[in-house]
Amino acid sequence: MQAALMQVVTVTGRLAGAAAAAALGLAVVAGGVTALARYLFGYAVPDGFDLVRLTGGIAACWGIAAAIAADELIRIDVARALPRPLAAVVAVLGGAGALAGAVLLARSGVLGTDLLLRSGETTADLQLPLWPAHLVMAAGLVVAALLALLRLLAPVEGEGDKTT
Amino acid sequence: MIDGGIAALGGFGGLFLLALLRVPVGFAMLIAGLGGIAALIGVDPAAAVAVQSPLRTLTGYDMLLIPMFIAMSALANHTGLGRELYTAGHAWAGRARGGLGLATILASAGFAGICGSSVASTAAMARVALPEMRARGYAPGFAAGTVAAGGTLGILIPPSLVLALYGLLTEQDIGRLFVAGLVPGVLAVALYALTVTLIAGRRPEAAPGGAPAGRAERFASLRGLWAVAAIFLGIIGGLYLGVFAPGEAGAMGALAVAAVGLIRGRLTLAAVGGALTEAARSAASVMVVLIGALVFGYFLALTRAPQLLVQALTETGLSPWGVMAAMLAGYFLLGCVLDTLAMIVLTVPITYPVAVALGFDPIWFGVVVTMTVEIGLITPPYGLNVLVLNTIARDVGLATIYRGVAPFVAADLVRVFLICLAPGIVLWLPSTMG
Amino acid sequence: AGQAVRFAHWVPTTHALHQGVEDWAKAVTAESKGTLEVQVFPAEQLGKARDHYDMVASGIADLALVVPGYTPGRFPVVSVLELPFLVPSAAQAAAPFDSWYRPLAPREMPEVTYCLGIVQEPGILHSRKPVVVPEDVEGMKLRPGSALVGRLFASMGASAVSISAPEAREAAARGVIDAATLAYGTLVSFGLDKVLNNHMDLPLYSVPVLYLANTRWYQGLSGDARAAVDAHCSVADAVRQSTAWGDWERAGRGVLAALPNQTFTNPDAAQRALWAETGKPFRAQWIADAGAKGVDGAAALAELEAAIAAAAPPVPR
Ligand code: NA
Ligand code: NA
Repeated sequence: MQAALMQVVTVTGRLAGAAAAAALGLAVVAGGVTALARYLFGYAVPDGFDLVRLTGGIAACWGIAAAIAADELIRIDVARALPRPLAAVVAVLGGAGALAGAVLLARSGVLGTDLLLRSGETTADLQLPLWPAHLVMAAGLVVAALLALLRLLAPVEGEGDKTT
Repeated sequence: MIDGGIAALGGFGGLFLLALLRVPVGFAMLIAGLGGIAALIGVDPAAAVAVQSPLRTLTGYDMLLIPMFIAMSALANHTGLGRELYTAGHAWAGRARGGLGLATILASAGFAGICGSSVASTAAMARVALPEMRARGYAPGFAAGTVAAGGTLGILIPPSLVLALYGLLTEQDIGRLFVAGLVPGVLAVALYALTVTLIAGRRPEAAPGGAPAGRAERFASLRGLWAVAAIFLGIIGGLYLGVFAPGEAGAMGALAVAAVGLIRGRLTLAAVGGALTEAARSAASVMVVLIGALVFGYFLALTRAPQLLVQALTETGLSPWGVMAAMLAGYFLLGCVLDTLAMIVLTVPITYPVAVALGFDPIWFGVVVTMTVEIGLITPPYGLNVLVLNTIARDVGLATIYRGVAPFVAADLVRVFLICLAPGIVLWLPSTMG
Repeated sequence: AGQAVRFAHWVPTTHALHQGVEDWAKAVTAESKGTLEVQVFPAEQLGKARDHYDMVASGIADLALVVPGYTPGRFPVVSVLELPFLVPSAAQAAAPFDSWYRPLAPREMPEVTYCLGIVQEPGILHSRKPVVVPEDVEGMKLRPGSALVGRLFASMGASAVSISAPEAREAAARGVIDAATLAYGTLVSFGLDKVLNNHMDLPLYSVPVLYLANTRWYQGLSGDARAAVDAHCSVADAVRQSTAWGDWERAGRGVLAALPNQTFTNPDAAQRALWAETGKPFRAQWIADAGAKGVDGAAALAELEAAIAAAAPPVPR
């Protein structure tokens, strides 16, 4: 059962990682191209600012899902030194905190999209609605919350962060 | 209404309790911050912050430099730029006594110029420099210590994730912070090189010279260098002249690294995919920390605790430098057990207003804090660079690496002292910006 | 001390708007006879600039400074000030605008309570080469002061380059931009006058900056507290704030006029008519957008224009 759950986490995490990587690639290309176009040709890509910002946001939301699947969020790991039974309790508490945080983010994504849908906020130049991009972000954050739940149900020691 | 000072203490208490229970640092800050806001001004406003703030952080244009610079580092790693740098360092400095150590420091410095993260720098150099040094008969502790210390240059020499995070938290100009990190970075390289030379002089058997490189080999190695040098100069020059925003610099840097990889024939689809996936995940984990830090910062602002603390400190009559020395000593000690990024987001909201109120320059403070927390990457028991190195070189014990790294910690402390003595080392270059 | 009141804004403490907020906070605190203590949270201390409307709606702040233009598409009615050639000066448009929007605010911003609206001193065109008629801007690379003014100049064949005002100086020096729209004081404070030394004395557009209050907080006020807030959420305060900021901006023109190498162009009546023509599509668009919010756009716009035309121009300095 636990192995099956972890399998789901691994596969979903990989898909989320691929989505995040694609969005990040797009954000990098859009960011580089808009800056070069502006500097070299004095040409402002219409909505370049919002395009970079929103693709970056999508990369971050799906990246959070992938990072939760891989248990890569930054932690203070002094609990490593604890005796086994206590460490197991702390691991569950840590997982519950991760779930709570991920649920908060998912709520932010969903309610934020709803707010934009109602307010009619648009991009600056082309006046395109903002909510579709936010819907894609919200989906990533909901997946992140589900992954945090599955991880809590099937606890396995992760590797911790590798970011600094 | 609850007293601000007590609310702030409660908030920090809750935050550290959650963090010690292995709740991810960003989520611990988010939960503690929201709880504090709810207690201070009500549940409805807290619920509203919980909706607005995370999304604004995730889609903020200024925040983009985090994924951009991480993508650049990952692409540099996946396209083998680290090896080219090491080859060049080896060809030019390898022959001297302790030459491979010097080569490692120089290559680390070069790699730091296109990589904002210390762990990525350490990992890249460990794979190329460590085997060479070991094969030449270097003492394992010295070899590993050199790589771990060289890795800390990753966040000291711009671009730097830690300086960027400091800028985002304090609303300081990140371009200016990067420019300010340049001269101290050069000073760090010089002091590390001096450390290597001194050790090699005292213990020649621990650091023998390398094979001599011919003229042709030396100049051939430069062909590998120009690309990294051009990218670094492009980024820092662009920020120095104010031509582009830091996020754009990161994006163009990432594209430039990819272009170099393409020219060298190493930019496979697998390399791009791997680099971007890795970058997206680690950028996301930094973004989570930032989300939490901003919400916790709103809570702290509501308590007015920073103002209260500044007032209390002014009334104790301690001299500004006394307070600064105490803060830096605190950072050094915290660095023994805490993660670098976590330390920045947990403490800067309190220390920054104090430093500014005492008359310290915000840019100088950012650089000196970055340097002090960076030492934590190589101090026991939790020295992330050492731990990463240990997973790559399994046969060198942790204690051996920590012993090997000790002289470099001393060099770091000397550098922090020099920068307190002469703040101009940090402030001169940015003062010449437009 | 009285009840703590949180006034949130996003500008740094060096900005003219911050001084206005500080003055307002002091006046309200003093007149509340000890019932209120207005605390200012500057520089995004409580949230990002774009979020200030939602922050005051949800009660994170009791009062906040809000620029509706930061959330394009959300508040079309109040954005009337961005329409080309509508506002001749902040001082002249301040009272008409505040009196005009005050009854419309509950319809467009039902989540909050309107306190007052500041009119920003109009931006004018500063360029490398002199400009008097619309066709002079063809091919120019321009840093616009608002999204709408960017679209306006794009319609005349210029291209809009969105960069922040601090970045604009370097961009102008390197030829990345050859024009920008700003008020005079801001132009001088960013040092842009060195390269963009031709100024067309035709007010182009303005931007509204609002003081908004949390409705539950406002309705909970009574006695001295309510009286103090009402006294300063008034047309008179809107005029005072707009004029003070406008005076600072217009002082910049005096600074430039005293310098050599600065050229001021002044389109004549026929040339002004050509400029007015370029603004027409945007007026039609605004009338439609206001209609979607349940406001008779054509009548409302005519009413505002008549009120501004009837108001006194600022005292020359
Ligand atoms: Na670096
Ligand atoms: Na440490």
